[in-house]
Amino acid sequence: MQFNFNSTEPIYLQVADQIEEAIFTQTFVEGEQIPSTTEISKEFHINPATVLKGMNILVDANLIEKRRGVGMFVIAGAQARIVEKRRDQFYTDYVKKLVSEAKKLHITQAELAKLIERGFSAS
Amino acid sequence: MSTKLRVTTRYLLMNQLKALGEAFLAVIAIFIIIPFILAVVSGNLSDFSLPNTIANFSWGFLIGAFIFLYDSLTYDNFKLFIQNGLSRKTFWAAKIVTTAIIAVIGELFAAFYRYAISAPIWGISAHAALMKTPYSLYGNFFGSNVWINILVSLLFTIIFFIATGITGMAIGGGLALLSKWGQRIVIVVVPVVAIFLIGFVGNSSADKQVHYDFTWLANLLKFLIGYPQHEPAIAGSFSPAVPMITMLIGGAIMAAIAYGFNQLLKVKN
Amino acid sequence: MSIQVQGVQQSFHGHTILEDLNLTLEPNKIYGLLGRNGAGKSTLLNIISNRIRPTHGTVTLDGESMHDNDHTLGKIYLMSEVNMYPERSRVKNLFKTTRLLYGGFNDAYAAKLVHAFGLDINARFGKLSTGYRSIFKLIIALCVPVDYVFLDEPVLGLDANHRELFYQELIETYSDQPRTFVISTHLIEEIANLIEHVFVLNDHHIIVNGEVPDILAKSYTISGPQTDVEAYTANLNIVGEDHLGGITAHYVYGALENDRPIPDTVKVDHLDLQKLFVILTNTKEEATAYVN
Repeated sequence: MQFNFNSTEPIYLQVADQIEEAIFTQTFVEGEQIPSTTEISKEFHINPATVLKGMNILVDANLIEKRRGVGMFVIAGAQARIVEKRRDQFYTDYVKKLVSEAKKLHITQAELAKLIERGFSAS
Repeated sequence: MSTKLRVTTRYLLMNQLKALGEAFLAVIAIFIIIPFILAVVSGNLSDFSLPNTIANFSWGFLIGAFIFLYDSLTYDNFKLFIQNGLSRKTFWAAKIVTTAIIAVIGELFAAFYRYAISAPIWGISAHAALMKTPYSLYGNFFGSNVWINILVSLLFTIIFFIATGITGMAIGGGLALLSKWGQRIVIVVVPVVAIFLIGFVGNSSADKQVHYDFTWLANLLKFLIGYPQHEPAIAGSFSPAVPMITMLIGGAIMAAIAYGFNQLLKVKN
Repeated sequence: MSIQVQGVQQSFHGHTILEDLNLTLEPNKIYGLLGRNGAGKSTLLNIISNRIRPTHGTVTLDGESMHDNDHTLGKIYLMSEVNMYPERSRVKNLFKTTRLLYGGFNDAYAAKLVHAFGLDINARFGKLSTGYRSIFKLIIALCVPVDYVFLDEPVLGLDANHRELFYQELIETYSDQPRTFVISTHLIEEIANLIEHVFVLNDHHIIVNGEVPDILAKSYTISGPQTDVEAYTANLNIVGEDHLGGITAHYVYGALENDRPIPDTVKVDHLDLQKLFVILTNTKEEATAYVN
């Protein structure tokens, strides 16, 4: 986990994003405990209330759950839900931006399609 | 007594007892060990009498001076106490309680030393030992029962120590409100003015040409020290009641002044 | 349940330091008190802790006066730059004195902190370096049984490792045992995410008083070509501006006009706390020094 403090996004959203990212990349495994509010708070000098606010976003999104007296755990199926959500957002987050930038550079639709093919074959 | 007053008093008392102990040791060092070493070095050991040196200690003066000076120290304790969440009021009250306790302990020690150590070494009676103290003016007031006279002398001296300490508190409290510069000026100027005034009063009383009349002042002072109004003024038969009441009233006034200054204390810069 | 500062005014020899100042400190929150040198931060903290008396105004804790009151004063601790402890006393004895006078002290935690920071408890307070004086006072601040802890320049003289350790311990003890902390510091970046609520003191007044996310949400940099930026920020609360080459940046503190379209050439970003502070507290001379 890391935080980009120059980001203009509110810190609690960054906390939620970073934990989500860690679940997505399976750094935090389903069914296992994630670091406590205090641990994250201490590591990054973030107010515990802010960290909790970020975690609550993930609780509401059904990605993590609180077990009383123990801590926060990744819910089974959380990663799949994140993948689903990101697929939904893929068009707005990436495709729209890609096309807009391509237009600025006078890259045609056909040329862009070729570039995408090239990207696929390279990786 | 509230918890805060109790702990503040305990802190002040512990510190003062420790400082008083150090002062005693310093006095012993200065008045026994150094003269002894000098006697040894100069080869005049026969002139040095340990019992006499021990007997001649007059702890009362040391205790009075100590109480006055310690009570005048204000700012450092104020800083420590306000840092520790204690009010000015509590600081003031704790200081007065501490002064009273030190006065009692100090005088009991001094009296024990005088009657149990010095008097036997000198080979004199308790009465004679009492008459060697400043209290000798009042030493026979209660007639021939020496122990009653001694008991009253203890009470008298304790009241004197307390009044002295509280006066120190008032003076120290006033000084603590001034800047370092202000303090220096006051410490230099006030004694000079006081000496000048005393000289002035003395001269004008002696010189009848000048028509300032200070007989009222002389009469007042006589009254305050308990000078007999009718009987012949024989040292020893003065009344200790008036000076004791005077010291109590003076102490109360000084306590009020100290309280006023104490309320104005603040952390500098 | 709160500390209320009401109508506090302070002047020294005709100089106004604080003017009609009002603020509330709630339980169990971490506050930042920011201000430039001489803005009156220490004066304000000294007034709250009854070390000095304000010319006008009152400070209360749960409705009870803070003036000359053991009960309320015993619930707060102010760690300040001014040295309040006797120079000749040893560190370990000062811990004992604190325990006696405050009626409690977390000895176990103090021992842990002493070890972690490498403080010599046998040293005399007067012999400690600036950094270790800060550490000594910090340890007391974190171990006394109070509801409100005021830290005036808590990391003065601390190296980066000790500062890191301090922030971690602050969070640790705050999580274990929530209480209010008010941190006054010039190192804004280090506490920007730690504080929930911020006060900015400038020109004898509190010019910012709010939750940090709310404050940052209404702090903007609007940058782009000068004419476009000026058109977009017209009538907005512009608190500063920068020019670099052909790019102009306007800093806006307050709401934007939602129905005003943002031109493609103009970029809208949020400010961070330090940048906002610098902009809001710049003098006119300092502000124009950037404009070349």
